[in-house]
Amino acid sequence: MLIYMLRRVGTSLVQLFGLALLAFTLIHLVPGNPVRTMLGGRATPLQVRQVSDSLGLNRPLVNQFGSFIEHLVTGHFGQSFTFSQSISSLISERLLPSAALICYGTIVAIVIGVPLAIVSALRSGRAVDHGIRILTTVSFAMPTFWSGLVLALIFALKLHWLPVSGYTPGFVGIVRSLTLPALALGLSLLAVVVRTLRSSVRNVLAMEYVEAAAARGFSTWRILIKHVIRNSIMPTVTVLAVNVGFLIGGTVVLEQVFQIPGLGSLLFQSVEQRDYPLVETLSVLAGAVVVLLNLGADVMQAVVDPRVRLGGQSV
Amino acid sequence: MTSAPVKVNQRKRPRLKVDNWELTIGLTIVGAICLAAVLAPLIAPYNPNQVNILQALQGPSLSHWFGTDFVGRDLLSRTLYGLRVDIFVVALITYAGLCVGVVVGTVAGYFGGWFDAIVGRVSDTVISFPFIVLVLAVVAIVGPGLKGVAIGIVIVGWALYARLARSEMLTMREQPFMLATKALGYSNARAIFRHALPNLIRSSLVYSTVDVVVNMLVLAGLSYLGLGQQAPGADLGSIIAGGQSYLLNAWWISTIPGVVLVLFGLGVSMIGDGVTKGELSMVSL
Repeated sequence: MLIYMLRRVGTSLVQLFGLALLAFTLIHLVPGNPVRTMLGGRATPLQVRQVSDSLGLNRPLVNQFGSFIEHLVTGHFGQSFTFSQSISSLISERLLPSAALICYGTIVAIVIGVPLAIVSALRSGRAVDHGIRILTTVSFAMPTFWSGLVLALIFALKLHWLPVSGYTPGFVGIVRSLTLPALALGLSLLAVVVRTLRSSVRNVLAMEYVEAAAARGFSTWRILIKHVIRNSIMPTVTVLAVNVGFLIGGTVVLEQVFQIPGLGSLLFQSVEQRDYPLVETLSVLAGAVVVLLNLGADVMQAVVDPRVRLGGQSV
Repeated sequence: MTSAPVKVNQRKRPRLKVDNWELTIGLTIVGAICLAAVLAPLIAPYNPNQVNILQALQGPSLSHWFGTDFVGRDLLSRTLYGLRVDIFVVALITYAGLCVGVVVGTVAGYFGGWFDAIVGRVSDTVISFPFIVLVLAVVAIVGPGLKGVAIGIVIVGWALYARLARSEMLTMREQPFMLATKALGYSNARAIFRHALPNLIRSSLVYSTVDVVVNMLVLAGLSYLGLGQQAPGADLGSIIAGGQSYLLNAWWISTIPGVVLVLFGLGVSMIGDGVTKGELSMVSL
């Protein structure tokens, strides 16, 4: 177990390092001078040099990369240009709405997706199964910003059940203001949840122990809950962890649609303002969240299922 | 039992149709939308950028099927021209990514060694980044506009194809027909491009149906944010964004172009499902 964990943590560290290197390379090695672009066409060479100096952009690249890594590890991300505020305080201000939106969206996808997947697997090949597949395909093909707008039109502008946009702190406020964006986000994730869970439920249904349970006369519900779901949930958890990156991308657009002051809209603003240190930090952090959640999912799987860690050892 | 053969015949026919109904519907939808986009200059009823304040914010009618926007531009014409841009860009970037990724992945899998290790690490890293975030970072550097978005999506998009092609190549390398190319003294290039590539490109082509939908959504999303197609040119994302302020008074501006987008995505996904019958799921997203 310990060897498996160490190995898995090691790969994640390599991946994290790769993320930082990639973000750094993108910003620094691309042709064109980012400072000049940032200051606009009218900047004098002197201004360009001053800003470059203050950012440490004239030092050797290896030094710059070293201090970038140091900042990331210690959590001192430096100053943002456009917000004249430290990047860490900006991030801590904006973290909650985004995290709440992603969790809420995942819950929506699970609540809608799990029953659909089970029905689909039990009736596979029938009309219901085809219907559910088309439904999830449609939900996958919907742009989140469009489904968000349609939901806002129906539930906020016409029915007045929920606020059109904005974000209110506090539990009730979060639930009310994030319901529509979370629905839009959850719908985009629905296809992935339903397809993964459907195929793993189908695999488990074909197992002999399910047949044995049926032969012993257990009710369908008992078989489903105690035997089938338990054994088919893990692939879905892994897929959810993998798709957190997809959800983070969704929040970038959705926070703009619903005017939510989260990290997604912060990233968008930093791109628009060409605030490179902020873009760099935010994209590495977004990648780090994905890497760490994948690590978490794999460790959880190893704890639940001994075959995973034994397989890991023999490789 | 004399009627048995007749029954079998009756059963067989619909079954053949059922097997491929997704492919048929998908091809019909995508074909119709692509045709409409290609023929946009011929079939669009109005000039897409023709402003006509007197006709502003009109609902769908016989003269304006999709209605008009806040300066009276005909939305059907704008949607058709927008589709032209979107479909062209998406096809270009998806298959550019596919070509780069498949070639890199195949070569890496064939030779192994340090090149393979580097390709494996780099593609893993690119894949673990959230897609839109990385594209946004590239847009921040290259600048807004379709060019920035296209470069960004290709930089990110090749990685999955490289991973797919590489893993297939690793198993294919050991197969008799590939060993035979060595025994026959074929050059590496001939072995890779004439013998390995045609056999492993199928999975990438199938995956590309998912990728086309994803790229279309990303492109539309970035255009919605104002980072894609720049005014006054139209693309579906920017049309939808333009209608957001008029959502209550003129619901058609944002909703109808979105329906076209969903239909296109549905059609492409159905083609993918029809080809594979669901064997390759979106798990690898």
